[in-house]
Amino acid sequence: MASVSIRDIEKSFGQVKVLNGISVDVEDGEFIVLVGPSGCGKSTLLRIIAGLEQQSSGCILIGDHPVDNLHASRRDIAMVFQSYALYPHLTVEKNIMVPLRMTRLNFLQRFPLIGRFMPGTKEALAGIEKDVDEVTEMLGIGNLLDRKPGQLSGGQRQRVAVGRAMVRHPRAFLMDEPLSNLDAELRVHMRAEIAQLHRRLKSTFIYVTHDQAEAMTMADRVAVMMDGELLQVDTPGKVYSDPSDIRVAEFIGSPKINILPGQVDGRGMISVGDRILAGVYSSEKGKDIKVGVRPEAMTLEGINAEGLPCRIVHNEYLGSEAFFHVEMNIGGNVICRMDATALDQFSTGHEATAVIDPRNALLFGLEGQRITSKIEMVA
Amino acid sequence: MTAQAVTIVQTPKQGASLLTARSRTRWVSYLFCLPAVALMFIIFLVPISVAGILSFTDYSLGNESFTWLGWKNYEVIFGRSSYQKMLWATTAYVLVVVPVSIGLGLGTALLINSLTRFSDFYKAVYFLPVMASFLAMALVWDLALHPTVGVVNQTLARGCGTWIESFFGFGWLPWVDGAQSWYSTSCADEFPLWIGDRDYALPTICFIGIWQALGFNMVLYLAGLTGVPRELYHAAAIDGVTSGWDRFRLVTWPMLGPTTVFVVTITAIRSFQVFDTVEALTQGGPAKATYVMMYAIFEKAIRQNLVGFGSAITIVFLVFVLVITYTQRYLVEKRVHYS
Repeated sequence: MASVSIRDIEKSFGQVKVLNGISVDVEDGEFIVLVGPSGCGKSTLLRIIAGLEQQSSGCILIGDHPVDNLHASRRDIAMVFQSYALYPHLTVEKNIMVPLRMTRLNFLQRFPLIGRFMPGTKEALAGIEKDVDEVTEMLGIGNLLDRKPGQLSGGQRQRVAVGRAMVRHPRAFLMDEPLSNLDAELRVHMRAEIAQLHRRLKSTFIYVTHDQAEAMTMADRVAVMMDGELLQVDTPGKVYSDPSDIRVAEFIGSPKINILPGQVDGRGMISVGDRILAGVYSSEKGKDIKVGVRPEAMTLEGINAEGLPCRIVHNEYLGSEAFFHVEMNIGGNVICRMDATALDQFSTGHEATAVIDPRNALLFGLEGQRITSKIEMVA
Repeated sequence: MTAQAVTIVQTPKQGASLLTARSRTRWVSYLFCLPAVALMFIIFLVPISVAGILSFTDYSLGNESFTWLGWKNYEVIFGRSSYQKMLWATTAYVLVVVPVSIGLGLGTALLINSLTRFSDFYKAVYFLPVMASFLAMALVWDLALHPTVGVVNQTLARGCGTWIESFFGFGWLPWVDGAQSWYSTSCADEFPLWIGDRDYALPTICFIGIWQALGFNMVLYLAGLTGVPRELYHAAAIDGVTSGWDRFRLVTWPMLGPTTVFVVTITAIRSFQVFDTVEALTQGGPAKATYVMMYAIFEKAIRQNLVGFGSAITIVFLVFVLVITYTQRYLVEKRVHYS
């Protein structure tokens, strides 16, 4: 167990810059999720931490010691790969043994045939077997020890890969989209299982995913990456409700946040279309801004209500709630998330009024930077 | 109800027509198989069966009749010393060429695979012997191995009395007497006749066989290496593998299992079939030292028109090849395909 510090990491492949000065400190025992769309450089960053890739500049510290000149095998970290990367010719037991055999047996002891006659091999192997049993017991794969990876289901392979990572008690776990090869149901299940594993091991986890649901549900802190830059590192709650950048706001949250054009008048009052957002003030007086409204902060009301006139173009019924796809008269499409009972009142093709909850409106500059707003509510 | 009743009434008649329809479909399906089956019979099974039958006779091409000899031809093959030599020469050739050419082929493939530049150049160079017709190459080998004017013996003779002799005499090793070494005695006496010497002919033919097979095996292994998932090497690095040997043992070699089985089978069969080298360089001699099976078949059945006896050698040859193929198919293949 150790902290991991990432300092000013840059990485270029030829002319293409994929990482642009990434810095983040991962605390000891923390579960941090690097999330971002594919191609944002998150996997490259993870591979640099692992030592499988060399950064162009910057440094990595594990447990306060720089590891930049250490080979991957000497960094004492474990990694779970997207494809699991299990050795297909070895049984589950042998697969999990590999990291221990490499560290606890010397070259001659590992040598085929003669290895077992070397002094100390027997004792070391007994210790290895004991540790492997412990891990497989914990992961519930004790009955699969003699199987080859090809005979296992996706979820079982996933567990074996985790077991191989766990068995030598590494200083940190790196996980590269470990759930993306599983079906949806199993993914949700494994999500909980990995989070529980983290609680039990109390080790440092760095987890890469493009799935924001995984990021939000598992992480202590979420690091949102985009275009080789780290946009925000914060708790899932903060990243959702208080994004620092419009790209973060758009990436996190499903359905996606609605962005509407807005203006700040001379007094700092904010308007969308011809409607004033009551009680919200900004210091960016006299400027055009973007107003982000989460689908649940936007409700539909009857045609005569106070709000922005719109037309419902599509609705999605999800049991307890419903999503309304709405075409605004001021231009643009938005999604409103409402209780499913609202379907009685609103259906596709009808005119309605969209009402924004001013307390939950997020303001962004035209460049995407967050603008702080002051909220004064009249009771 | 009515419909059912009608069906019942019509059953006998309809059933009969159904039956003919079904049997007709069956005959049509056999008809579709016929060309393939016929071809298989005509070009594979019939000739092999004919060879099998002729191997029990003394048939010669052009003869109107033949005598049934029973197992006599086979008794000669396994009993007479010149044919025992043939079996030995063939087996020795296979046992040398297969492991050495595969080991070197794999080594070359690994080295070329690790190159960042010039790998195409090396691939082309090593593959050259495979592409070139051996009969053309034989001229070069014949010249190079010529006892007096050949480049091999000339080069060896140049080294006499220099550091080359002392180095390859291995006199610098504490337990070797340099003066008694192969190089030094050859310098004092004469260098071998190579393909003209009964002790050197088979090793020389083996060397040329390795030279031919190496490039082919290298290409097969290069293809196999592209199929090794890179993530496995990364996983191995994370798992603490530092040395190239461990990486090879843990990832490369097991992942090349299917390739190796294929390479072993192909090389073994091709080695059993060695013919062109022998025909071009030694004609089976000297003293039958390089009298391999293919050459024996050629000599007996074609040159001497002893078709019956040639067929018997052919059948023995076929059995060898079948044994190798079946070993590969049923014993080894199951252990190298992991899913």
